[in-house]
Amino acid sequence: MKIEEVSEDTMTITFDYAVSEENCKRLITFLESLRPLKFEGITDYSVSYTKLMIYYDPMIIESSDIEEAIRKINADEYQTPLKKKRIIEIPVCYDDEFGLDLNRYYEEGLTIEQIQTLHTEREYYVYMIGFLPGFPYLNGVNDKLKMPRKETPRTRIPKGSVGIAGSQTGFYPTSSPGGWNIIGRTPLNIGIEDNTLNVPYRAGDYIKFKPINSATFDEIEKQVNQGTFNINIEERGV
Amino acid sequence: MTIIVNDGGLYSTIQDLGRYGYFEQGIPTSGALDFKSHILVNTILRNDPNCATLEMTYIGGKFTMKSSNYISVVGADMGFSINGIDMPIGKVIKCTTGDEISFGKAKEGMRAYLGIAGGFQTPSFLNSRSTHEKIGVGKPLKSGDEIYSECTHKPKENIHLKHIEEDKIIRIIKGEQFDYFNQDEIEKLLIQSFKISTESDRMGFRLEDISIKSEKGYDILSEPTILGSIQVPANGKPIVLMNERQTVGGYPKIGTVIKADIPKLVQLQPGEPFTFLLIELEEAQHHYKTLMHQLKNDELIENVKLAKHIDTDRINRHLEKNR
Repeated sequence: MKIEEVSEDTMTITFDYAVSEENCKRLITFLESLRPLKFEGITDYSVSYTKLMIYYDPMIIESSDIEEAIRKINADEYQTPLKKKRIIEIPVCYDDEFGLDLNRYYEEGLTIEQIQTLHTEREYYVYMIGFLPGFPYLNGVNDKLKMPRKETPRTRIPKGSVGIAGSQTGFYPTSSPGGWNIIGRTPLNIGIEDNTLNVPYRAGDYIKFKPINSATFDEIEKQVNQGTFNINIEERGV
Repeated sequence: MTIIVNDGGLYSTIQDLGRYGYFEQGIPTSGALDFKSHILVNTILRNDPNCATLEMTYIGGKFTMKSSNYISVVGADMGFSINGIDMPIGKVIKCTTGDEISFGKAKEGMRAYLGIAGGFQTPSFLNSRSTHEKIGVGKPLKSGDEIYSECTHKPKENIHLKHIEEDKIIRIIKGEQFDYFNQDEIEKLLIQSFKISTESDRMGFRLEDISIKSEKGYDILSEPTILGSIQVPANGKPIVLMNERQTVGGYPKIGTVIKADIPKLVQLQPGEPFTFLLIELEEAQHHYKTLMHQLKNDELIENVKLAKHIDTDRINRHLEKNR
């Protein structure tokens, strides 16, 4: 375990520099063991592929105190997740109307059915959340779906758009400029809407996309707006 | 008790010390860019340091008081006046119903903080009143808006800000990818003087007149961002990440502006030259703690009784006569 002071009020913890689900799981499991200690003075945590960043108020807690506490936690014990595996189901409509860049896949000989099947067959690990509130960084799409970012990013990608960049996939919780290849759209309201924050997953959870047709999209959208839609979350034992 | 906005100015937003605890869900802290002026205006008004103030950018707004309350302004000199009478910065001023508060273009500095006794009572989102337009939390003020406030106490009227001369040197520490840049590129950053581009906002400050090359490319594995990070994208034009930055970023970072110098950086007008100075992390920690200690112990304000040349009573009497 490597602990580094980055600035006056941040420090990072690294176990390994490899990008892998195992490495990220270890960081998240470690964070879940740190979080309940409720350090006064730690203001935020943030997990990314290989680093756990701790933001603190140096007027309340010294970096050396945090480091000492961290060293006491036996990192090897945190190789296996403490929590149950959570899979969050995100409904997606892959119609051409929403899949603004499906053409790039059609040109490679893929049909819409194939794209849909390949994108929805996997459970994607949430490595981190960021860029936009609630934007999940998911990795490991099927090789056939891998697609470089668009050369000229769009100035506005509609809210809910599901995209692919290289081997990463994810969706835009709010409208935003962006260079990802858009293959569909979810009717869910994720992120900030009407002064409430709704992010039903955390780093360490899994996301599974569920194909829906446009009629179901409209129906779910209606339920979401009425506040009656419940996101399907499955929990499986460790 | 309300303040009516007649003119929002260039970009005026309600800010406090920021939103904490939600960074890992992709929500940056936001909050007053010049946290020092924000805290000082609250201290002068005997408010809690986290009370919401109004951050005005370069061109201030115009407001009408709908009730009596105490106000104060700290930060940039935007020609602060009440009912057409010039008002000093860093002092407590008693306002009554109908008073016209007015600001213009900043003569010096970039951001002014208008504080009010009790703080502005705008809606709170995730324990903070800080506006963050880009993620849909609040909006900049516009004509016709009304901001509620409540006079909760009577501040001491006889205090004012100590005048402290500031240089244009922004101190930095090594960034997380400092080793991506060779000695020549680092020297470019440390020898030249720079300007902040007009294309800068609460998300990031772009630097003009410089292009920096990375030896190891411009793509890093996306990682959490920190305030003041100087990131270098592929076009070589550095961007200093500010309070509304994205929570993760994938560009190499050559340096980080020290926290104690963030208030100085955000008061630079676009086009105003400044230089960077590289220091050690331990020094940066020391400077930050010193500044926060001074703010906490009221070391940056003093009693007017000791400095007779600016007399709040006289200002208030003058205002009274002209109402």
